[in-house]
Parts: sequence; structure tokens; C-alpha cells
Amino acid sequence: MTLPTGPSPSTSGVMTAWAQLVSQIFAVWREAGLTWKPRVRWFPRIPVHLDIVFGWLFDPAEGDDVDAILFSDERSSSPLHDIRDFVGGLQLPMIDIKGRAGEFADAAFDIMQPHSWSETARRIVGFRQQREKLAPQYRHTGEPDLQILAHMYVSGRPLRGMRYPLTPEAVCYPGFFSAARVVPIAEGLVLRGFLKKTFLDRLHECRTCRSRRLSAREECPSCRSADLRETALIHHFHCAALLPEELFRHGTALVCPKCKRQLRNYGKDYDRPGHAHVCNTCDTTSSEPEVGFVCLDCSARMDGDAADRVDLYSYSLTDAARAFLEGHAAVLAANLPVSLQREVARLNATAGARAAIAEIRFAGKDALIAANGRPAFQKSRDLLVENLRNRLAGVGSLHVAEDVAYILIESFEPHAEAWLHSLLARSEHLLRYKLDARLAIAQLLGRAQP
Amino acid sequence: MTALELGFSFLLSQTTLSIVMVFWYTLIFEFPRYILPFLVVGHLMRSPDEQVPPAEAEPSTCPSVSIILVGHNEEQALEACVRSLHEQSLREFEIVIASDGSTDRMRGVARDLVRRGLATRVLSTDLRGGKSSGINLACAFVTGDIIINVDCDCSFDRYAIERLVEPFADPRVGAVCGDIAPRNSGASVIAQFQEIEYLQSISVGKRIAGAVNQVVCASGAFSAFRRRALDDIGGFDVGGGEDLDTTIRLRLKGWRIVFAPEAICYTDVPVTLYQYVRQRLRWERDAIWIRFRKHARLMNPLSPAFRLTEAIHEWDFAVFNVAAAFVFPVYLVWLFVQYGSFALAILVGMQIGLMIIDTLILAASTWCTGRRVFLRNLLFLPGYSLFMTYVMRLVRLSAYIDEWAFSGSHRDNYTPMKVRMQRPW
Repeated sequence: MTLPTGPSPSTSGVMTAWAQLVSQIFAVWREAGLTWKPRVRWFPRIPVHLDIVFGWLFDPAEGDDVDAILFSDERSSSPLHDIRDFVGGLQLPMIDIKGRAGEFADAAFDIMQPHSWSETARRIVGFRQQREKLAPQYRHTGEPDLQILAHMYVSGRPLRGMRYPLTPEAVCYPGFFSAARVVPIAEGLVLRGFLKKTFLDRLHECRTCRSRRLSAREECPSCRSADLRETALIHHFHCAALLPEELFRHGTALVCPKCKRQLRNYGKDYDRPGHAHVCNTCDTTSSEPEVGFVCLDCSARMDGDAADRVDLYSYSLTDAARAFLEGHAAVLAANLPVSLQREVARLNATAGARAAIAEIRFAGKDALIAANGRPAFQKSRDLLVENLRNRLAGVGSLHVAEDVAYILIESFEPHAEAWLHSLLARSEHLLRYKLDARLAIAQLLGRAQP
Repeated sequence: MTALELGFSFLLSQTTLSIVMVFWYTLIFEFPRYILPFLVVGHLMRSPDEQVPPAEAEPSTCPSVSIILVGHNEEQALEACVRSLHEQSLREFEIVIASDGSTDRMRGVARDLVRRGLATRVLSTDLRGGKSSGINLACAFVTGDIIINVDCDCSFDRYAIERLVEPFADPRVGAVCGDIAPRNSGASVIAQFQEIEYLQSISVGKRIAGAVNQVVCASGAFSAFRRRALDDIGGFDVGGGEDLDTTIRLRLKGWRIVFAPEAICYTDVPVTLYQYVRQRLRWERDAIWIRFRKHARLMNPLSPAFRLTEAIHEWDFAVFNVAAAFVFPVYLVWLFVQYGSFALAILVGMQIGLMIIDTLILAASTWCTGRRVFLRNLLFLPGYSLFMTYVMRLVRLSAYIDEWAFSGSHRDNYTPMKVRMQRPW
């Protein structure tokens, strides 16, 4: 479908000006490479007052054949960190037509802002071109992990964290799912070698409600009250009195409470060697107040070192992930144990097969080696493999490399992934040294019936 | 015959009166001051057996106790000291740490101790003000009726705090000082000498002093003070030797000072000759200015401040420390002038006599303290006797001259310059 030169000729009257504007937009789009009328899905809905004009610009559509999602949220203050949890369709650009989504959208379209017209067109075209490079099975996938990878690939945006005070997680990943949803998936993808993570920040987390919206404050070491007042200490050289300034102060004069002499000459009679904090609650004096936190969400109070520390990361695609998304299975196969590569080749040649490779990585490996040495890790890993092999009992085969193990399931059903997870958990439960083994379906194999 | 053999023949041929005439220095300055009291105390004031667990004190009799640790750059020693305090039989006390302008991590270590519940609070200053001001700062914010001042590099016998606090049951007692023993006596010969010295001068010497109400220095390393008594004298005053000065001022106010022999504190003593001499020069200089400049009136019978009990220890120090140090070189010269080549034999004879005295004192100390220190130190006694006679007497002499003529203590950086400039002594 090609882009028309403008709205239909029947348009007349007050709409003529709008029609001319739409024609100009089409012209700009054409220059930017958008030569067809974009098919869009509205979220949450098309605003009534825009339906005619936007009806000229975009064709409403559902299903897989969509170019973009038009975001038209009328609310002005609702948080947007989780907007993609509801909008979905990470392989498509989300175009903000209300001008408030900022980084949470992939582009902003304002009918009165000509520069936004070309930006919108470039994003739609760019997404489409990149989408076409994806292996067909990933272009419209609904799997969250694949959607994340696909969005990073088609948008060219890394999974970049941003401090965000409107949610208890205090972090969000604009353009992607909410942090609570995306981080566990991203960590799994890191283990699978599809994402590389870089440190973003370290936050403290409430032990009660897990919120990271904490207020840091200085507290009295005795009663933990934050009601502290700071007072200067005065050292009177003549009699070695070292006391808070308030004890010396008599109006504008400073008089030593110990020897009753007046302190006149700073540096000669006295100096101020430091400060003390006096608690207005329990009257304790200390020079070293403690740091504590109060949770802004549940009001729990905790000592500075009692709060859990959480590291935040940003994530970017690895070459392996790009190859995976483009359908170059060889990238995965090159790392597979020889026995598994033979099986993969056999299954790929078998019509009607529906197999899957589940990948098991050991997240606790480094900690285990650091604490108990490499032999302990190897022994635990071997025991886990043995447990798994016994429990698989012919349903699948197990193939082991140094840092990763693979389970090949030849008849992969939708419920099989949950079964594998449970199998892994039960096998690890028996181990003395836990490996924190993580399982993910790395690849589906087989080809359709001719 | 050699000159030495001739000398010994000469000595052996002397009458008792002649022997007294030859060894007058030893008979005046060594024998009466040390050997007699030690032998008496050694038999009368024996500590209970260390291996027998003592009876527990009634909880109601224990006053509230605050322990203050005041130090400058003590990051290395602080935690061990605090941990040692937590091993005490008496557990009900607060620990307040005062960092006096430390430039190392002492503040951070102290703060960490508070965070872990091992100390109660930290007070710190950015600028060093000296030990006295640090103690005064800590004393201002502790809550106990009894304030125990300990050095940060000390550790303690399990019953040390309990024994130190017990004498305060007597309301007349203003301060109690504990016994101090070297922890590192095996580190060097100098440190081993100090074990003998501490045993004589503190472990037993203060028992004797305590028996006759002559404890005049509640050591800065390990002493307890009744808060009311400290308030009575306005806390610690500036300058080095603040422990001696505070104790004398407490005595002047009528407070009793008690020595608690079973309250034992262990400390690291200097291990090299240089460190040891430097420490003693400072102690002796401080003793001179405090006793004979700041509190000189205590020796004067015409002064309104005169007290016989104070005059005794002032004169005791003046005679057996100061005069003995000044007279010793005179005695040596006199010996050589009077007896020529026989002087060497006389000195050897004197040294043998001193060694016998030291051996008796060590035996008495061992008996008195109940510690197994006799055999361990016996081999070091000859060296100890020589060292104390010919090295430390000269060190003391130089310290006295330095202080007397040049106010040497005023140069000592133990008290910061800003304080010394304001309050010269």
C-alpha cells in the first residue's frame, strides 16, 4: 500500500486546512522513506477529537501486521515505567502523540511539530527494516525474554536503567517492561550469554517491603532518633576544659564553666577542635552519629548496614544474541558439546520434530569457588548432573560442558519447561553446596512438516 | 695480686663501721627505702591464689561504671582493648571512646565498635588537644558514678574492673589505681627489665604505699575515679603527668586513693633502649614540675597548704629519687678519690649487695603477688641491677637537670604546642 498524496477529495469546509497539513506530513514521510500509510494499534484508544485527522494519517490495525503503537494516554501524571507491560509489542515502535512519554516512547509525534513528523517516519521505517532482519520466529513472538532481545535489536536501544522515584524499585528501563519484570529476565539472558551487563548504581533496599525509596539520615547512636542538634566543641587551653560551646556561652561572652575565665582570643585562649551531636530525645552526646534509613513506603527504620544493598545494571546485546536473533543457530551450536551438536543436526533434519534445548547455567559458581574451592564446585556440578540424568529417565538427554549443561528434549510440549524447572530444583535440593542453577529454554529445534 | 683482688682483701679486712663508711650511699639510698618494706609487705600482703575463682559481687553493690578510652591515633590497639573489657567478670558498664584529633582511622574503628554494640559512643575532635582535654571531654558525657580511665593499648585480667571498683564501697575513696604488668616482657631484654621494675614499683611498691596512705599516682593507664571526686577538683589539668597531678589534687581535697592489687591491667612497654629512655625522661621531667613547681608548697611547713601526709611523699621523692641521682656521681668520684684502685672492688661489692637486695625484693614480690615471675626474671637480675644503677640513675639525673634548668617538659609534644604556649609551667 502506498502513501496517498492527501485526504480524499471529498474533504471540504473547515477540514481543508487539516487536509493540507496531512498532505504536508505525507510529503515529509515520503522524504524520510515512509512510503506507505502506517498501520497502527492505538493504546489505550484513539482520542475522539483526533479520530478524523489521525484516521487520515494512520490505518488502524491489529494482529501481527502493524507498524507502530500510538500511545495516547490522556492522563498527565500516571507513571509510565510499566507502560510496556500493558502495551506489549516490543518489536514495534511506540509513538507518543501526547508529548509526555519522553524516553518511555520510541518517538513523539505532534501534528503541529514538523520535526516530529520525520522522526516518527524514521523510527517506523527503522523498526521495520530491523524487524525484517530478525529470524521470522522472533518478529512477533510473545515470549518476554525474546521480546526484550527483539526490542533491543530493532530499536537499537540498550536496556538502560534510569533512576525513577515513582516506583518502589527506584529504577526503570524506558522502552521496556517494568523493572520488576525485566530485571529477572535480563539476568537470565546474561547467564545465557545474550546480554552483557554494566554497573549502573547501588541502592539500599528496605528489608520489610523491599522498597528502595529510603530516606538516609543521621541518627543518635543510642536511641536512633534523628532529632539531633550540632554543637561546636570548645577547648580552653588554660584548664583543659573541652566542652560544648553552649556551656561556655554567656550572652556574647565565652566563659569557661570549669575555671570561670573568659575566653577572649581564639587560637591563643581556645580553639574549636570539632563538633558534637546532641540528641534532643535522649540527651546523649556523640561526635559520630550513625547513618540510618527510613523506608518512605512502609516507614520501617533500619540501621545503615542493616539495609540490603542492591546493584543495578544496564544491559546490552552480545554478538551471540544478535546472531541468535538473526537465526544463525550456528552461533549456539558452536559452543555446544559435540554429542549435542550431533543430536541437533539430526533433529534439524527430521521433519515434524519439535525439540528444545534447555540450558543450565550455574549462577552460584563464582561464590562457591571463592568459598570452598573449585573442587567443591566440580563435585557439586557432577552430582547435580547425575541427579538430573537419573530423573530425566529417557525423556531427554543431558550434555555437559565446563560451565553449562544442556538438556535436549525431543518432544517439547508447552508444560515441559515448568517440569524441567521443578526437576532442576529437586536435583539441586540434595546438594550440600548449592550451585544456584538456572534453566532457560535456549532454542527450539525441528522443522515443519512438508 | 690484681687491683681487684687487693680491693676485695681490703674490704674483707674492714670493721663493720668501716664497711658502713664505704657503702654509705647504698645504706642511705637503697636499703631503708626498699628492702625493709618489701620484706614486710611480701609476708603480710599476699594476693589470693589466681586459680581460685573469686566469689561473685552482689549486684546491688556495684555502682554505675563508665569506662573511657582516650587516645590519639590508636586505630591498631582500640578494638583489642574494647574486646578485653567485654571479657570482664563485671559487665555492666558503658564504654566511651574519645579520639583526640586522631589522623588515622581511630574514629572509624571507634564508630564501627559502636555500630557493633561493643562501645557506647564516640567523641572525637579534629584537632589534638592533649590527653587531659580528651579525658575531660569524655568525663563530661559519661553517665557512670565511677569513671575508669584506661589506655587504649591495654588489656585486662578477667576480674580487673570488678576489683578496681570494689574499694569505692568506702565513700571516702576518690580514686583507685590498678596494678599494671607488661604484656610483652619477652620482647626484649629492656622489656624484661621493665617486668622486674613494674613488679617492684607498682605491684608491690603501691601495696606498701597503699598500706601507709601514700598512693600518689593513680596511673593514667588504668585507674578509676569517683565522679564526685573528679568534679570536686574540676577534672584533669593541662600538661604531662596529669595522672600524678590529679591524684595529688584529689588527696589535697581529702579523698583517699587506694591501690587495688588484684585489678591487673596488661600493657605493652617500650622494647628498645631509646623508647624506654625517652619515656622515662618524660615521666621524670613531669614528676619534677608537678611535685616541685606546681605543688611545691606541699613541702613547706609554713605554707597553709602544708599537709604532713603530702610532705612525706614529696620528701620521699626528693631524697630517694632526686637527691640519690645527684649524689651518685659524687659518691663515685669520692670513692675513687678516697680509695683509688680499691674503688672498683668496692663498686663490685656494692653491686653484689644490690643484686642480693634485688633478689630478695623479687622473691618478696613473687610471694606477694602470687605470680610465677621469680625464676623467669632471676637470670636478668644482674643485668637489671647494673642497668638501673649505671644507666637509669644517669637518665634520671639528666631528666632532673633538664627540667630544673631548661624546663624540658615544656618542650615535650605530649601536650600540644598551643596549650604549652598558653599555660607554661
